Amino acid sequence: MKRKIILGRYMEGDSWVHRLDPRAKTAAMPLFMVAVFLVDGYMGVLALLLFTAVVIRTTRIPYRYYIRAMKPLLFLLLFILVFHILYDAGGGKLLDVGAFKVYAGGLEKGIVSASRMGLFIMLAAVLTFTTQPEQLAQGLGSLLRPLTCIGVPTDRLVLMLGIALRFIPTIFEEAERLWKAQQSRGLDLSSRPLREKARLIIALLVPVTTGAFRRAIGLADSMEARGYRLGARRSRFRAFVWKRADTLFVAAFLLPVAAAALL
Amino acid sequence: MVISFEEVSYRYRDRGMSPVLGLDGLNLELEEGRMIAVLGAPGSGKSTLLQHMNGLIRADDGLIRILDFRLASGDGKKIPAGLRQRVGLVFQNPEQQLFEETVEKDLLFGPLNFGRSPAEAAEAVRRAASFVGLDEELLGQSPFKLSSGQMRKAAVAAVLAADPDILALDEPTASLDPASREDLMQRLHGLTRMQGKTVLVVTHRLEEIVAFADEFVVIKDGKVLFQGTAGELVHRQEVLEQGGLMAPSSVRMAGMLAAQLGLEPAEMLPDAAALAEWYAELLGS
Repeated sequence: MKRKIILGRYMEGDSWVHRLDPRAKTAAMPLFMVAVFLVDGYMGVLALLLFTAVVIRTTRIPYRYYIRAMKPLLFLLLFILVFHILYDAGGGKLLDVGAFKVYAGGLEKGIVSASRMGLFIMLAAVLTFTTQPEQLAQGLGSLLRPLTCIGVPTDRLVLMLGIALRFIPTIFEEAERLWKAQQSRGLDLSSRPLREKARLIIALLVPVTTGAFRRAIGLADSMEARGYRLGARRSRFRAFVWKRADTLFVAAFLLPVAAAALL
Repeated sequence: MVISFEEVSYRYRDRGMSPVLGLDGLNLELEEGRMIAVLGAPGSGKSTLLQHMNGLIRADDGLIRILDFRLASGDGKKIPAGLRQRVGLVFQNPEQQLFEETVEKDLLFGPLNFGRSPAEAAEAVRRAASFVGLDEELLGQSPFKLSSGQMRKAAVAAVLAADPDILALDEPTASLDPASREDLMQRLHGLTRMQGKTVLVVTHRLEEIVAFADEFVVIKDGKVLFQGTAGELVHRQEVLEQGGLMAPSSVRMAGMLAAQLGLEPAEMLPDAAALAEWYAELLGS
C-alpha cells in the first residue's frame, strides 16, 4: 500500500535542487502554474515538457519515480483526454465511427489539458522529492508571512501543515499495520459486495482515527509542556539563507512562462 | 518439521530509493508442538520473519514450508487457502485493532471469516476467551471500555478463536506489568502442552521467556545467529551481545556470586527458585 503513494515522499539525495532554499522552490511553483495555464498548443506543451525534463534531470532522481508519482491520477488524466476527444470539435475530422466523431481540435485540447495536469504533478513531485516536509512547511510559512498583515493566521496554518506532513507517514504505517492484522484474521474483501466492502473498510479504520486523535492530544500536551505557545516569538533551528543559486532557480522559471505565452 | 525456511531473503522497497534488507538468506527449521522464543535487536528481522509465515510478505528468494503449505518466492501474490486460519499472527499492541461494537463481535470476526458457522464460532470464542482468562461478562461490552490488560487478552483471544495450529506473537508482553507478562507466558506455554500447538514468541526480553520456551532462536541482520536451548544460549556471551540481549538476572546473579566465591555455577539457573537451590546447596556443602 505504501509503495503506491509516492507523490508526497521525500527522496534522499544531494543534488543542486535538494540544496536549494525551500522558499525558492515554493516560489517557483506559482510561476510554473502560470506557465501551465498559459500553454495552449502542442508546441507549448513540448517546451514545458522539455523544461521539466531538464529540471528533473538536475534532481538526480530517476525519471521512473516521477512517472510513478502520476500513477494515482492516471485515471483522471485519461478521463480528461477522453472527455475532450469525445466532446470537442474543431479542426479536421480524424475519425468517424458511428456516433463517435473525433476531431483534431478535440484531440489537441485533450492532450494539452491532460499534459497540463501531468506537468503540474511532475513539478509538485520535484518539490516534494527534494524538500523535507518540515522545510516545505517552513518555506511556505516564510513566504506567506506578509499575509498576517491582513489577518490570515499563517502561524496556525503553517503549524497545521507541518504537523500533518510529519504525521502522514506515521498514520499511514499504522493503518497498514492494522490492515495486515485484520488480513491475518482472514479479512478477504474480494468476495464481498461493494457496499459491505466500504462499510468494512470504514469500520476497520476507526481505530486509526481514534489513534490519530489520541496522538494529536498527546502531541499538543507534549509541545505545551516544553513551552510552546502559538504566536509567541521563537528562534528557528534551521535558518534559510538565500543564495545566488536560489535566484537563478526562480528566474529560470520565467522561461516556461515566456514559452507558454509565445508558443 | 513444521516450519522450514530455506535461504529466504527479502528487501523492503518502500523506503525512498534504496531497499532495506529484511531477511538475508535465512535458514531455519522448527519442530511441532514447541514454544519457540525468537529474539533479537530491533530491526534484526524478527517481525519480518513472522510476516512471512502467513503470507503477508512474500519472500524475494528462497522457499518456505509451513505445515503442508509451500510458499515459494515466484508464486505471486495469491496465498494458499487455509493458511491464515492455521497460522495465526498476533501483532504488537493488538488492542489497537479492536474495531467492533462488542468484544464478542470482534472475537467472532476471525472464525466467521474462516467459514465457521455462527454456532461453532460462538463456541470457539467462548473457549478462547476462557483460555486467556477473559471474563465472559466482558464479551458483551464495547472493547473501548476494557482495561488495557483486558484489551490485550481480548486481542490474543481474537486470533486464538480461529483455532490456529501455529500461533505467532510479536512482542505480546510489551507494555504489560510484570504479573500480566508472566501470566500470558504461562498461558502460551499451556497452549503447547495442553493443545499441541506450536507457539512462536518474538521478544527482546529474554528474562520473561527463559523459563517457558523449549527453543531459542536469535536473529541478527536478517540471519539466524543462534538456535538452541536456554542452557546453550545463556552462557554464549557473544551471542547475547550481538543479539542485543541480556542474560536473565538469575544467571547474572549466579555469575557474580560464583566470581565472589571463586566457583562456577553448575548449570543454567532460569529463575530465583533455581538460584536459591543452588546457593543453599553451596552453603550446605
